[in-house]
Amino acid sequence: MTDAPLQALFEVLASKLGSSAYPSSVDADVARPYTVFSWAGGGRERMRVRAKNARYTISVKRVADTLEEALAGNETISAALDDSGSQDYDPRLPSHPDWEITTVTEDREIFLEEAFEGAVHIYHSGHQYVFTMERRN
Amino acid sequence: MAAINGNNAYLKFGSTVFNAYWTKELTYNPSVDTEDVTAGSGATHIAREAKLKDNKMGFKLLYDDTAHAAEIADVDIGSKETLIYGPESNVAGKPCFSGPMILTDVKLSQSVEKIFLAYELSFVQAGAPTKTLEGGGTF
Repeated sequence: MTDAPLQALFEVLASKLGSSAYPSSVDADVARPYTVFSWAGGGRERMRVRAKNARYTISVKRVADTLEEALAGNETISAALDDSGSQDYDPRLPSHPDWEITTVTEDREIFLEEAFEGAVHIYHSGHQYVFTMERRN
Repeated sequence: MAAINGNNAYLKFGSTVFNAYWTKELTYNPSVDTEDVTAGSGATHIAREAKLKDNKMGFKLLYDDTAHAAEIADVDIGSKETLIYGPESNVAGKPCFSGPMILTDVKLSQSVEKIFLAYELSFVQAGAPTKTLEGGGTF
């Protein structure tokens, strides 16, 4: 059975971003810093009659105890993802058997300073990324 | 009976079937100009007759990386081929347009914003069609 496009995208992101990256949400007891990626918009896209396409916007951010760590993590994520699709100038994403990620584009910036457990401040820094995808068959 | 919303069109120009690559919209535009034939003194209303029938068509083709050569084999400006169009596929009995058309204009646009590439093709009539939608032509 063919993977759903969001399943394929999350598998690729988990592989690319490493063991401290989590899909959708993170338990409160996970040690910081970590990366979290989550659906922000999009879905299947109608481009032609006999092919399946999708376009997703995914929020990807680094969560850390210090501003410096969060901002540095944002840059690491950007270096890993921006313009990394198979049709971009620097393809470098892992391949998925069912879906080809053709373009990745860095979009709106994410920045949040969060009061955590009352007194502790933690920092979220990242971007939304737009992924265009086409099913391989 | 149902209003057609479907996109299962059949589209062929020359020897190439474009069903898999057309995108966005397709336009089919038969038309006729008229001639003023008002005669006689004291005429109060204009009279017109139809002139020769004409037709224009246009559609967009996705730029597909693996199938590009086959996809554009017959897409060359000045090409005069038979264009066949069926809004509901090419199943026997379904409506059909078939007639000689000349490809007069090809436009390809690319954007740094990563919008998908598509050829925009424009055709004009090159002779009397053998089948028309408005004339009840079928496959």
